[in-house]
Amino acid sequence: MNRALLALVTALGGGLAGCLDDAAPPPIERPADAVRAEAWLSGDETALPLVRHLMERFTTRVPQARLRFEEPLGADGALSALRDGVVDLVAVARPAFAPRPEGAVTFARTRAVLATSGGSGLRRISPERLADLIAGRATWAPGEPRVLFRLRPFDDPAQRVLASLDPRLAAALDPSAGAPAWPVVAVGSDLRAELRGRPGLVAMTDRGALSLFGEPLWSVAIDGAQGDDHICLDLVRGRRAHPAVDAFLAFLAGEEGRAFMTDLGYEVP
Amino acid sequence: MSGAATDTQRPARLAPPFARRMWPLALLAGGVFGIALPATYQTLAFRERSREAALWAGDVARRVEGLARERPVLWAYDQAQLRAVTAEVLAAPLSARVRIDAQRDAMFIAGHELPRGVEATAWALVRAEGRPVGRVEVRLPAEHIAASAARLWLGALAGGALLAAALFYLPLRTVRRGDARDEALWRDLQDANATLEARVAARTTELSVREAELSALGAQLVAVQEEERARISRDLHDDLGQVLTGLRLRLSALGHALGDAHPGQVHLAAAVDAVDEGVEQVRHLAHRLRPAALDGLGPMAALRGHAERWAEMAGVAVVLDLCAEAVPSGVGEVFFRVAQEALTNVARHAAAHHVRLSVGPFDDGWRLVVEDDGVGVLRPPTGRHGLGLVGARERIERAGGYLDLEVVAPHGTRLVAWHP
Repeated sequence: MNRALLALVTALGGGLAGCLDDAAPPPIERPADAVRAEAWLSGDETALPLVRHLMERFTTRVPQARLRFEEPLGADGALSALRDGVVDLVAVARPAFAPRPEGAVTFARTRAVLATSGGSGLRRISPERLADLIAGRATWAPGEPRVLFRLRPFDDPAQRVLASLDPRLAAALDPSAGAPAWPVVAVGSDLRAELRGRPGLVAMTDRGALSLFGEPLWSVAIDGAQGDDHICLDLVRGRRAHPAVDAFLAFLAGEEGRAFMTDLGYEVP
Repeated sequence: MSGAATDTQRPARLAPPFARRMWPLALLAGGVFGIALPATYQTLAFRERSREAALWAGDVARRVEGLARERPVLWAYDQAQLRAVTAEVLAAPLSARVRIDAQRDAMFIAGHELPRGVEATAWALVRAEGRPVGRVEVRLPAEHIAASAARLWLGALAGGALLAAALFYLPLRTVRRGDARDEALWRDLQDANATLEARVAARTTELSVREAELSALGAQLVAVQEEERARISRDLHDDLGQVLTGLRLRLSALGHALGDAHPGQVHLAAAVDAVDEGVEQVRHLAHRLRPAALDGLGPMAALRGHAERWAEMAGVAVVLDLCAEAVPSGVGEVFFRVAQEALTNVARHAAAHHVRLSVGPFDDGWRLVVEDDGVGVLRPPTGRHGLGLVGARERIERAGGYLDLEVVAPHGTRLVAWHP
């Protein structure tokens, strides 16, 4: 029995029985309604760690600036919060070939890499083999170095770069095409902890993050199929002006900020 | 029994009005059964499913409140964390649709969209510092409930139809059987009535025949009585009268022969007187039995003579009003006997001083009236009176006439006889 017929029967029966309760949802208070005296910054798991370090350096220089960080929200969540006026500045990462968010200014670039703790046969894995392993379509060959994957959510920019290497990889990483064969790790710190603790584990990340956290990991840069495999770190300002945000952006554009990012291994446009 | 009376008394059939009144009730009962059962099931099942969704929504909301306490401002934008807490609650996240709403145009959705009507929905508030800052909506698929309800609807409607049919047909069948029994009883009664009517008609005919025979017998008895009276009167007059007359002649001859000085003349004269008295009594008796005038001068002359003699003997004044027209001899004889009996009754019982006797034409017939001023009859006339009037009454009624005896106010009795 198809759903339309079921819905019709249910609607008729429910109407007769008066059992369908489609009451309006209860009212709630909006966080944006609160008056904030301090500027809020947020971003995704790739860009926000760098911004956090920059912020720490900035607050030592400008202690009167009142800026606040929290854990990353993901690119979509952070941009939603920015649109809602909940945050004043957002740092998000995106592949260089991906569309730029409206109003975004690229303040740093880094390369997507496959990271491992070393001793794996990562160099011998072709993209096709990688796609089969990720999608669970292949089994490990005898003598082949054991490689375990940990995947990030698909909106992770490094993973999107990986997906751009081959359509089969894109299909293997597309969650809408089926459940990924490997566990999904949402938080970057968890991913790095797993990389440190489990030899042979492979994950997608970026070179800047590895340098930022000083991880003694071995990494392989990925050559993007669309010509530029860089990950761009963008800043997007909210509609509401805030002096602390202006001061922070001025710090990033200054010599000290740019030198700080370069020292961490990021490329500064 | 006429046809209209038969239709009126025919028992009314109860089945048609019963059916007219029963079918809405049966339809209502079937409809209530066919609708209430699946509707109740669907209501309860959906409520139970909604309660389950409410539990899930509440559990998700409590965990989301933990996030909100840690990150009071940005919790609603951390979709990864929201998915994580949702996955902790829902063992199979894709089996439900979860929306977490906290800000304008921002909605976290997990699970698949479900068509409206086949899902159970529940809301739970996310509170931070006692204020509602978000809401969790959980929609659980309820296709199995809808499918069961659909099957139940079909079954219950079919059952309701069967129930309605049973409620309508079974009592109706009983009523129809009652109608059939009433019809059979009515027909039996009709047959019994018809048989009874036939028997009554036969008895009535038989009684009519018997009555006619009895009437004829009465008339014959009167005629025989009249004839016998005439014969006895004739015999008395001709035989015994002649003997007595001859005896007187011989006694007279014996007196002449003995001479006047004979001592036996005294006894002979007494014997002659006794014979004369016997002759007179024979003559009187013969006249009473059958007056000679009845056959010679006619009934009216005989009636007049009898009335005059009766008046002398009874000492009662009699007024006669006899018509001059010729009364038919049959009518006259009947009227003579009726008047003779009436006058005898007046002399015996009435103690009257005057009697009026009239005969005349009346209403295409002849009427006799004998009216006295005596004490009247002790009881109202009931049609039963002296035996002397029975024969005359029979003759009158057989000819189509009547005879009535009535009380006359303030006193007296009137006898009226009418002969066509």
